[in-house]
Amino acid sequence: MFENVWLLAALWMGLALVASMISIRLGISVALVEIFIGILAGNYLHLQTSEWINFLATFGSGLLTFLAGAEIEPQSLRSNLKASLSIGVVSFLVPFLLTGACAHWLLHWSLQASEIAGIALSTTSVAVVYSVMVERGMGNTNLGKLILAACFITDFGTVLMLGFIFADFNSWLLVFVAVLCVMLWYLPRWTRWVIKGMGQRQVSEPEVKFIFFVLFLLGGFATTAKSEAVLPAYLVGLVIAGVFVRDKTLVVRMRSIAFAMLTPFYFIKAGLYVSIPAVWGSLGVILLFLGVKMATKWTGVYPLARWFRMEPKEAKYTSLLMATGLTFGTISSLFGLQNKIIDQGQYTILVTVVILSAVVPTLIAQRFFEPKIERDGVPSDGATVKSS
Amino acid sequence: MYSKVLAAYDGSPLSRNAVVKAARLSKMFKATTHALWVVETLPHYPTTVGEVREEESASHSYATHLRRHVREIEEREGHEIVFEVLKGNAAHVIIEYAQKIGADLLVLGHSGHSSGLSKLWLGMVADKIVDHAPCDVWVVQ
Repeated sequence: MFENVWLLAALWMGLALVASMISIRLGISVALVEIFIGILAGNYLHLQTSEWINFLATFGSGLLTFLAGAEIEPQSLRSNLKASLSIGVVSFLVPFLLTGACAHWLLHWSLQASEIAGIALSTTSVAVVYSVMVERGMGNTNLGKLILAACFITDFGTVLMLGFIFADFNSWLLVFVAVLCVMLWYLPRWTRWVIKGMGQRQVSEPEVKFIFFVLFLLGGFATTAKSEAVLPAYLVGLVIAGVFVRDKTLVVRMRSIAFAMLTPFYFIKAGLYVSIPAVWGSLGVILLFLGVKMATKWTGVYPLARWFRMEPKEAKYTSLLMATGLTFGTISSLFGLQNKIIDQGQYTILVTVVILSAVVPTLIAQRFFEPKIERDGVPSDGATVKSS
Repeated sequence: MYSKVLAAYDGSPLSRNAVVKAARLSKMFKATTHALWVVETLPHYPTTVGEVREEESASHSYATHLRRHVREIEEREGHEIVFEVLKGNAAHVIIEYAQKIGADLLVLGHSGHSSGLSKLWLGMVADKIVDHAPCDVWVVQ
């Protein structure tokens, strides 16, 4: 039955639909639910992927990475550059080095597997941090923008490391870097030209096709050089973020395509390879890695946050929020599994830690270290919206 | 008997009933009536910043929609209602707001539009409020 491509597609999309419905009822991000659905499908239905599912999943992760890069507001990055750069770099580097060291020296993982662990557990979930900022009314404060900019820098470090650490240093890498540099330089201009000249009310969606073309092309060069397609996707998003600030409908359309058709395949696939017996068997290691991730983020971020004159409670709050992670953590782990750098047991450990890191630091931060912010925001309807 | 009545309102039929009854009771006692919507619909553990922004924008639109409902109830009952929108955990915020304004009666629906988990345990928010409210509580069915 599963050889029939239509029935297979119906099964996967059915699982995605169930995940959407559960996500809406529980108020939890659909990505997390899709991973859990994937875990159940992998362990109890023994669902497997196929060539075309792998392609959709890979493209989904690339598009998600592109959207992550495109969501930055360039102005907020520029206005807090020194502080956000310092906090962001340290927030990536300290966990990457210490978590990798823990995997290698304490758990005797191979060097490459330890590098994957370091990359996967050095990430920060910009979206989780942003939602907490918005709930607390901090989204438009200077502190909020500084923290978000630092999160982008952290993820940039993750993507850069993933893109280059396992690449073959040969002529193809040089070609990839050269093509990437040229395209990134001209992309803002080309994108504006496509939107103005060909887009706006065209049913054929040339702007969307243009961006897809760029992502496919750069992804092709990246993978030929044994790099990872998410690296150019993130950079493309970053360089045209300024264009998207003016054209939000294009981002919304691309997000709709991603969430309806592509990212479900990615997140369900990510869950498929998590082995439930391995979770129970490695509970101690999982908790160790979670503790190391949180401690290393704290160690790296807290002193710097205080250096940049954050109040102690705000600095602790920031440090814990930056210990969150989800998307890039799963992307890094899946990269490691697909390229046979880590095995399924190690993958299970890393993805479980990544999922827990989306939840645990946020709960602790909100329970114990929430700074009191009193702000009034007046939306256009005139209702007063306050944060309590 | 009551001088300040607070009704929790999230647009659900039960909570609308709560606001109407709060207005009628306040009119009898010549009390002031407050209606409060607590925004807690931001997705937990989101994947993209865009998800959060869209939800936030939807919250603003919904607040306008609820304000219109409250005005309709005001006109029909002939009694002024002060409408407020706050963000956070529904039970905590309602209790804190009741304390802040010195409410002596809280009126709520038994279960509103609260998340699937709350609905599953039938009126978890209402239960928490009843346990910790600083004043009388009227749970409307």
